[in-house]
Amino acid sequence: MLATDFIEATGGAVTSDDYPPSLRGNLAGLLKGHLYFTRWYLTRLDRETGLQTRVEIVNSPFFTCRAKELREGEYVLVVPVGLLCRLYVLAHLLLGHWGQDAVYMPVWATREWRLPPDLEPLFGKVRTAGPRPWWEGLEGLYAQVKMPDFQYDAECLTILAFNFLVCHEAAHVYRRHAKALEAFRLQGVVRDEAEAMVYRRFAETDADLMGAGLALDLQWVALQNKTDDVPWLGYLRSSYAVTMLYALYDVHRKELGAYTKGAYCHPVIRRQVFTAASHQLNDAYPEKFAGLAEAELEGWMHCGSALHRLNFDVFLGKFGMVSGDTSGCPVSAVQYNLTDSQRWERAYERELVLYRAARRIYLENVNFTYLAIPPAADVERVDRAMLDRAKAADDAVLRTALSMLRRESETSKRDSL
Amino acid sequence: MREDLDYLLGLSERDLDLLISEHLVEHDLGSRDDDDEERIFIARRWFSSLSAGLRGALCGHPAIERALQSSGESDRLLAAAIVDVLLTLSFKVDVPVTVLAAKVTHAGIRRICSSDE
Repeated sequence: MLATDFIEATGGAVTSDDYPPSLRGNLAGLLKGHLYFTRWYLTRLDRETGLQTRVEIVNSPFFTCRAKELREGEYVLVVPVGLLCRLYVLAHLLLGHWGQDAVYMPVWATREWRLPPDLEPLFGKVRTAGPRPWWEGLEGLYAQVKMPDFQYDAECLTILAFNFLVCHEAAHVYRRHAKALEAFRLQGVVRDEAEAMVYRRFAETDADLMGAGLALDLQWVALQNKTDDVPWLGYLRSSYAVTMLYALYDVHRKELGAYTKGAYCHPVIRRQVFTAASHQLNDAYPEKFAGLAEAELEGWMHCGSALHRLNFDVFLGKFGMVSGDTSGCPVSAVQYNLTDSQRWERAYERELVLYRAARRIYLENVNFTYLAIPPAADVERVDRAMLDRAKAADDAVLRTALSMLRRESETSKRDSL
Repeated sequence: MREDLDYLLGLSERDLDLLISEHLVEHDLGSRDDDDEERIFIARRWFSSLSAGLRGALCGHPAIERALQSSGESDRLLAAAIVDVLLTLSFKVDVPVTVLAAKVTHAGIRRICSSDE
């Protein structure tokens, strides 16, 4: 398949006319300029790896960014314009709560829930059938929530979320995740669909981790050329943008329903990976990333508070009433009072064991050029106690990962993660 | 089985589109799970981008004309003729040729040939 064919199938390269009219003036030029910046950044990594990547914003109303290998060493990454427009509107919506006290209201994670009607164009499933353009409802919501005083911040958050998306997809490319899976199937390293799913889950966490490192480096490069932003604020925005992105995705994830199984972890866990990478980078490069750890936590906290405020507004009916016995909350599962912190810790530990086990297998078997995760941006190691707890857990996915690891250990005679 | 013409012709157009997108994007890695609507969007755009090539390959081809004249009662004959023609011409395509033939049959060869998109 040619790059142009794939770009065409996924929506076609976006033009300024494809943007919703009320967002066009703010977003079309901004994102076009930033697209060139990310292309330049990836060119450096292309040279380092000998790979060839092309990035495009496509005229698609959907949410999914994709990385596709077209032929050996040649890749295309696509980011839908619908996702970027939603991020921009969500940024305005959340920034409207900037500086307000957090309102932690009880939310019912297990209760039946529906989106309130006015938020459907932002978080809801995309409908392309019918004569009306996909963005009509989104423009209505934008008119309701736009914050002219935060215009610059909303633009920054949109391009930083875009950075992270591109860097996540680029990580799939430079780690050769798809090619490795294909090779592992042929070699018998991955034997069935359950093992393939463990591998895919590793690949997504791996892309989140490397994507975090690349996105923060990209932000550092950008901050070198800006005189009006202090680095601390830039990193705070990076963290806010990543939280916002996971909050936007999560609604769909709940509808599609896959957290312990499937390729993706719970968004709170994915968010935790970003925190881990940020803190590691700050420790490893204290001058380059001065203040990153604190700014990262602050950005997370501000976005989390705004999401709680959003729940509160939904509860009050600000975005229309939810009918029947269902609840309109939580709008997003990026909510830290849905359960206790120990449960999050256990869930994070589970993903860490799974990730480390699958990564051991990946590193032992991959035999073509790939980009290594710098030790400075890595997650913590798994100790014996964590491994023992994982072995004792009644968890089919973990069992599959550990059985793959056992097979690998018998071959390589190594027994640590 | 999933590339068998009888099986493919029994699928609804929606299921056929989902099968096409499976061939196009199933092994890609992404930022989140996609859903059926998105996959159908991709399959239809992909098929639409093939229109000119398909018209050039199929429209007016004697084997297709013969199949059209004698296939009133069966899509299978037409789909088989489409497979033969596309294979003979080494038509480059990113899905199995039987899947494309079933899609062309569903979409309607006469409609494709009369369209000037």
